[in-house]
Amino acid sequence: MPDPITKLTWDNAALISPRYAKTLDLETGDLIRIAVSEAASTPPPPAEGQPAPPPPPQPAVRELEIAVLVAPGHADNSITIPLGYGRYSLNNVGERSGFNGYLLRTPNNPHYIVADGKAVGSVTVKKVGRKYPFSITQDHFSIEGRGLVREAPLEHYREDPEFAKKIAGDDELPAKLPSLYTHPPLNAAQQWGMTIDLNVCTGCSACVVACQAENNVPVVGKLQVSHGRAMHWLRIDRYFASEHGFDQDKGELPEDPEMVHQPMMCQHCENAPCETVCPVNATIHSEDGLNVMAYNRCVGTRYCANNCPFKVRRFNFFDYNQRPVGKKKIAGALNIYKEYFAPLTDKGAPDTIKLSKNPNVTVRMRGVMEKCTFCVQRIEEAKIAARVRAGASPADNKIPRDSFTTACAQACPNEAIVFGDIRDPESKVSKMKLQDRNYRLLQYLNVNTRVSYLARIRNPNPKMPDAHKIGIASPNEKEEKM
Amino acid sequence: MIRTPSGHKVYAIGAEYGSATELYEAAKRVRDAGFKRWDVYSPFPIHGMDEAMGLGKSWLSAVVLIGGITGLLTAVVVEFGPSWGLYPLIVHGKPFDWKTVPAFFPIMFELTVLFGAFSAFFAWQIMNGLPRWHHPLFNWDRFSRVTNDGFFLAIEARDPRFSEMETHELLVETGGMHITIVHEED
Amino acid sequence: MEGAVAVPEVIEGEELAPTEKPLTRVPLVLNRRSYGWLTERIAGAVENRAPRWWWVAFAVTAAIAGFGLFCLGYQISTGVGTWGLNHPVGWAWDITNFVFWIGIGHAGTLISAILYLLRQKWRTSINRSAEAMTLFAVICAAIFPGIHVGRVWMAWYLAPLPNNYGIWPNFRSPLMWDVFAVSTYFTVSVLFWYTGLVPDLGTLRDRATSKIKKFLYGIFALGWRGSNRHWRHYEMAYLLLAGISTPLVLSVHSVVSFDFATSILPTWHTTIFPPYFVAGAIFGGFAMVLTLMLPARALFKLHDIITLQHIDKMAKIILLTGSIVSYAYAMEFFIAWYSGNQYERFAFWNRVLGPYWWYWWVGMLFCNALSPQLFWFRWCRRNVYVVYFVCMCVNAGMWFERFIIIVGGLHRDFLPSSWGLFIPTWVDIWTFIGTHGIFLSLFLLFIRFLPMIAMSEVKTALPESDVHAQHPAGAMEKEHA
Repeated sequence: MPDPITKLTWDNAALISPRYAKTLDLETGDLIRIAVSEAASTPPPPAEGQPAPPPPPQPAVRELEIAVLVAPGHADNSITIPLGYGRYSLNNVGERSGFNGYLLRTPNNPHYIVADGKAVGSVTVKKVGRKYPFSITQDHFSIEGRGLVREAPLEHYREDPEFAKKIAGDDELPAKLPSLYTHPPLNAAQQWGMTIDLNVCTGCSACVVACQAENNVPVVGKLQVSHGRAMHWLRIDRYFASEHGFDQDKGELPEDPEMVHQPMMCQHCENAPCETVCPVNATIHSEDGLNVMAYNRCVGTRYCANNCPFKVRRFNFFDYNQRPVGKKKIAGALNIYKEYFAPLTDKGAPDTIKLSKNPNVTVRMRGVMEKCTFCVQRIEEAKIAARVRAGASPADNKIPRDSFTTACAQACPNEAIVFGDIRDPESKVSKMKLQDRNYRLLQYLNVNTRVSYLARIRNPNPKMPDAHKIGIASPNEKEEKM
Repeated sequence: MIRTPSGHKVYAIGAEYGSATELYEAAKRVRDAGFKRWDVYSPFPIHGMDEAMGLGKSWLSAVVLIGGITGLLTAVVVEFGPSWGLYPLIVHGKPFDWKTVPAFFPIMFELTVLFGAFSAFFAWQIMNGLPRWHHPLFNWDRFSRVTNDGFFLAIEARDPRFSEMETHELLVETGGMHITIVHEED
Repeated sequence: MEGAVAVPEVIEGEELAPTEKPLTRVPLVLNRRSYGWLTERIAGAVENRAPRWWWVAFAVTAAIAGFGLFCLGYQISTGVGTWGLNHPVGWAWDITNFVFWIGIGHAGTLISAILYLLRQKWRTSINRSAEAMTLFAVICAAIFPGIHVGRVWMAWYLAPLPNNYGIWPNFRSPLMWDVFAVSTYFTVSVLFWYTGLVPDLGTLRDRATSKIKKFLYGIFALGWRGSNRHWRHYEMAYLLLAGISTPLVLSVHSVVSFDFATSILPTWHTTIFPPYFVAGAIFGGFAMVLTLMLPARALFKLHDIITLQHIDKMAKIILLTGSIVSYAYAMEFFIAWYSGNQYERFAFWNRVLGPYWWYWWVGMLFCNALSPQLFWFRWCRRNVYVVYFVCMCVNAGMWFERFIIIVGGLHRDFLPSSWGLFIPTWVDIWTFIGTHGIFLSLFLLFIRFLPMIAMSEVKTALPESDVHAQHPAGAMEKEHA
């Protein structure tokens, strides 16, 4: 799972701020050697490090070589190292993961290592000069002035409760976008939809894990993630918004930014651009408004993924469920990736892996496109249950209101994700959609998404020095300030 | 059936000409003499020869037209049958009415062209009696130059006006050289 | 290739300066060659023993082709992941190569069909090899949509066949149109090419010295004997094939452009694409024709048949289509600005200044837009080295253009969170190089076994073939009456 803030997978890293990185002449991926020398421990100085530490006779030095990840928003002149990494075997998904941060710790200083002269004499950071490959799922963190995440400070919201509908030109669009077509009716009794409240989303990524477990989303390994082939159906987009604009292409990094999260999965567009381009009708619409995938029918042209404006479709580039992934040295110095000889490698997965699969969800093979289904297996299960309950009177086989939900919604600790029947005005999701903060992405394309977002309202304490840096992610806010 | 003294069946009497123009002039003479079963042979199509031989426009175009229309109708059936009739699916919110018909045009066009091309290809062979493994004219040694730089004219023995002597004379008059009796088989 | 005929007296055809004979057309075949000379020179290239350079060239290209096929097998057996594709770049070199090759495959049919309808007799010297080039390019092109799919063994789902799911293909998908357009184009091109070959196969049959050759050429010559009654239907068939190939050739690249134009991505979603792609295809195709013809002309001493006049004319077409393409480039930027759509605007800025900036500056601007402008100068059009240089630029530039359109459009679209980059793997690179091997191997086989110039057609371009020329004017009109 990608780290919620750095979007780093498989590894940990030494997180440093952009400014500190500049002083040390480091960039993401550079290896550094951190040396922590213990102070002479015999006479601990009484005061808070006031007197100069006596020269330690033979200080023990603890060293760690670790790669750096520049994290905007990190405090200057400090380094954060997540613990719990540094394993050297990861079974069949990887070979090594991260750096062992425990090596630097002492019993006296379990959490913070500061050259305070009490326990730690000095902390030195040296650039090693080599690189370490990271697998980061989201390279671009500038929102580029696009109205994707919409937010406002509380006062602004009070002035203009409908502000979320006026961003990115949405207010210039007619209430009902004109279409050349009379769209065929989606006329099932229940129509599924979803809202995601950005106000309460913390980016914790519990939904991502829930989705992965529920839908048998394959683990692809570090190498494939670095190739941009992570399979998560639900991802959390993280953007940095800074008071001062920055051009990430020029290598500029935001200083002291605000960070916003946006869960992103298939938006189940009613006019789904992915559908019309599929030559074999492998992705079509169901009558209850789902954009459904027929894995059996998919030949894997990837055209649907190309034409998806949200880029939420995921392609099985390899046979992730049947062949082990990860790299392996084949012969001596020849570092050949193991999955690159798939026909020659063993097929099949261990029973423990097989047993971890959800039996209600198809396990996809290579060459097949997949994406969020709105947990169609749960919908069908509920439907069947409703039909069984209805028994002889099929007229009343509707699924009871809000009686089930998707895996991501179920896992969300803040109930940011709400799923349900949008045709039923009393359902929770319908009520959420009626809120004034409700907005949909890329509305001008008239894709008519079934997923909508609720704008984020911030209420910073105006007495805080950085209050003006809060609630600035949406483009209109920036313009007003200028 | 005309046979030579040696007992061979006669297929035709042939003459060679020095140039396309000579052949062209000769063809007009043969046409005017009223022959029906004769032909000229040249390494390339000679412009105006159809008129010189008294042949009309080829009716191959009619075959191609029929082929093209067949292709178009095939496309219409193959496309609309499944898409609207057998298994209609909701794709991209597109309706099942005339408004999406343009999306079906490319395949209609392609199949029209494909069927038209096939009908042209097979029609010119069938109408010419090709492919054919052997032909009596190939028994004539000089005739192998027809695909190089030879210009030939042959009047078939089956023609009602054919007569060994007079036809021979006609060919001589038109400037034919190497006038030869071509046998039906070796 | 050590032909039986002496080296021509005049190699380069500059001897007829327009000032001397202002009303005479420059002959298409120089030095007043006879029919026999043409046959000897063209058929001789097939009949004589293969020169050493041919064997060397064929060994090299066949080896490259072989390795390319190995890469294909590896990719199919292992997965599309052996290429550098990722999310969001779902298409990259595969479709770039497809569009590149299919574009090259346009010049042949254009020369055969459109110039035939326009009665451009100069086409006869180059149409055969250009058509062959078309076929081989389309073969190379067809490899990519075939293998780029994730499950090649399921590709038959694209055919409108009943199957166990009862689902039919989506006839409204541009990829479906592609399937029909490319397969139709290939089939019709084969029919057209073969139809044109039949009389020449007759020539080879009649000249064959060994039994096996006579037998094989005899089969494919279909018993052709040059009868005028045959020529009559044959010419009509050829005319009609040309007539239906003309819209076909224009449609194929239009349909290919629909793959992009009907989608919603910024820089793809453009109505300008069909004419832009067609012009680009002709542009790139003519460059590739010259790339192959210029060496062949020198190696087989065909200077009298493929004259500087031919090269000059082709250079002019390159100049024209290159300028159309440049105009389209400029118009794309204008429309992006004029649309006021921030996604479009960004995408075009990104094209020029983004991670793939040099592809644009080198490929599109220098190779495609600027280098053909040399052809405004007659000297450049008639200097084979300059022509060759420009053609190589255009070949490369057109590949870059397609890459920019495809990857440039995909790698940064709507949501910045999903932006990415494409880095090719060795499989990507060698598959592409391998298709060059396949293409050149096929072309080398073609010039060994089939007449690379349409003999029967070139002969019609000789002055003595015009039976009306020596007539008084009145007689000719009477004949047509």
